[in-house]
Amino acid sequence: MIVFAADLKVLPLAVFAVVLAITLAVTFWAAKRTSSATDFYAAGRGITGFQNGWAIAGDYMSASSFLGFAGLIFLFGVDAFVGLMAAIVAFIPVLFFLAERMRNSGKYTLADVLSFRLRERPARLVTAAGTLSVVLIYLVAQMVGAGALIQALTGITFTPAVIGVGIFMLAYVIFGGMLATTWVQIIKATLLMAAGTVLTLFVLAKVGFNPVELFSRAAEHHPKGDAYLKPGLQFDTGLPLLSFGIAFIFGTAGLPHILMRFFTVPNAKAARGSVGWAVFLIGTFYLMVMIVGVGARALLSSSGVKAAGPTGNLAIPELALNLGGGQGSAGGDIFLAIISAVALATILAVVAGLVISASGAVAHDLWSNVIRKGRDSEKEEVWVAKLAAVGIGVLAIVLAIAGGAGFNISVLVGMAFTFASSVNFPALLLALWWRRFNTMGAVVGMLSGLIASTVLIVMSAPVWPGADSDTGSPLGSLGLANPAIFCIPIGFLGCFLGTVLSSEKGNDREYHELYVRSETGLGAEAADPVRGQPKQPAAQQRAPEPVA
Amino acid sequence: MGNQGRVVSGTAEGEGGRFRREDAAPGRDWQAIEGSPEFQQLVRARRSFLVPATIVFLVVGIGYLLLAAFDHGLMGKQVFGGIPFAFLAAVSQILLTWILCGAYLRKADSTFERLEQRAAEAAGGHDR
Repeated sequence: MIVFAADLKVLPLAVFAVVLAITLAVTFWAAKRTSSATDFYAAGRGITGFQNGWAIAGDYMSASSFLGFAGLIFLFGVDAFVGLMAAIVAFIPVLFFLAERMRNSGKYTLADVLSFRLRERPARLVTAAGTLSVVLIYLVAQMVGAGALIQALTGITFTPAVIGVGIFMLAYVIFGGMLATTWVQIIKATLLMAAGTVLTLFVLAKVGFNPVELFSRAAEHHPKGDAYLKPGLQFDTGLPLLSFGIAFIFGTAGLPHILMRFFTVPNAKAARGSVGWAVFLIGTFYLMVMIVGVGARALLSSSGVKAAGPTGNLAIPELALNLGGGQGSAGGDIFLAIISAVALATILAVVAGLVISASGAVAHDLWSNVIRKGRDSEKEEVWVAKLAAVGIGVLAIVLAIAGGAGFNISVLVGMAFTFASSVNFPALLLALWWRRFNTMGAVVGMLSGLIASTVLIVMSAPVWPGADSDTGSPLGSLGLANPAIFCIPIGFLGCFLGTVLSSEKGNDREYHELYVRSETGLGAEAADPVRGQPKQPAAQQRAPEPVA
Repeated sequence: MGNQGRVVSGTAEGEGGRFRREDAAPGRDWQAIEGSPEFQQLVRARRSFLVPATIVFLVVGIGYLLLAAFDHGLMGKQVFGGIPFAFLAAVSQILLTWILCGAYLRKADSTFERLEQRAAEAAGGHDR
């Protein structure tokens, strides 16, 4: 008999049940408004810029940025600020180069933008492969984290916790599509911002709103003293830190579930506006995470420090318990329950966004356009998308349970960002901006990014078989768990060499069109497509281009 | 309305698909639009913002990473009577993001949007 729960914590479960009930009500509401493919993938393109900004924040800030980064700051001090800061700066290139252009030239998926000017099938195949590898790795990381977290916070054991998360995630996506996913993300972002604000105010009140007091108390309580306020505790050499930061800065611009959000708004103006709201929210939240992380170090007693665990993941829940009045007090229990429920809601919103972007890659790119060559009906595509969501969800659940706690979550997350930055980002950027770019360039570039990332991550110290802290990576100090600093240039180089070395002629006409459309919004997908209209015959026919 | 734009490049394998080019203005000469003075003005205006702004982003963003990674002396300093310099450097990244994104959004609302509109009108207007 499997043990489903040991030592159930009733209060956190009760608060979480309320949150779940709200999200299910939203899903029920959304389900009645979701029928077409545009509804399913893009919420009918009816999300406002303001709403989308909150949804991006909810999509982006995973439990790892709430509990994980705060825990790392609690453990290692200022070194752990860097990852958060790279993650917010990352939105600058997203706004400058992608947000409006995705909205203007795409439909549902990243591959839409690439296949606009490249040969359809190879472009969609490699882009879908890039999307699926990023999403699946990130999804497994989130599921493993969710399982461990739910076990710690509620007492439900790992396996049923992962299955439960998977069921809710699939319910949002399958019944409510992008509309439900969006509102789950908005609700979660609201809860997260509220929880962050309350925690920050409590922490600051404890130190008399004096930042100097906050930092000096934290250093006093850290076993390494003043070293807590100096770099070097988390990363003892510079290169891993630099590469880790670069993976975040350029990886965000290749995250399919984030870029997909730009298809949900009515126009380019709303797309760029949503980035404005998102950076306001995420920046504010990361500022609060820094204060709360340092605050946990300054305020937790030695038993609290112990309860925060070796990864620091439980530092924030422990801090909430402490701020509410401590172990056994009603205030402490309630505050802990609320923070735990917020953390759980956070996980659900992120995994739902991931699954919907993966289902787009399978159903829209692989099934509808590569396998069925666009001859399927819209109904069929939505149906396949839902099946794909189930398949991906089940695969992630199985992988998470099989790997269990054996998966190193930070390696998985780093891997997802490395893939996103070196596989998706170079090809996407060049498709929009480089006139000569061609299909061979995209295929070679994405494959070389994929292969380079995989090989280098396998050869890094945390993964290489038999490597421990003594033997390390076979590459020595160049063996990085986040090798983005090498992989991004390799990805770009692959795109460049594939383009210039192939005899394939770039398709000028298509580039002119993509360029003009992406800049002006001419011919962009309508916000409210009229359904059921007979398809017009193809207006333009073009001779098949020579295959390279 | 109801213009279901296409997303298929017009290769043989995509023919007949429902993502075929179905623009209401099928005969658009994209190259001519690209060459139009209105479009060129839009591209120039956007570029004259994006190039310097991207340089600022790369210098400050990557510069921060380089300092955090390699200049432990500077990052380990404490200023204003006990605030770690590393914290202020981190906050500077949030401010960088807000300032650059805010500047782009202002510029887009005040200038780019109008130029986009003009370029689109010169090309015959939006087809819906």
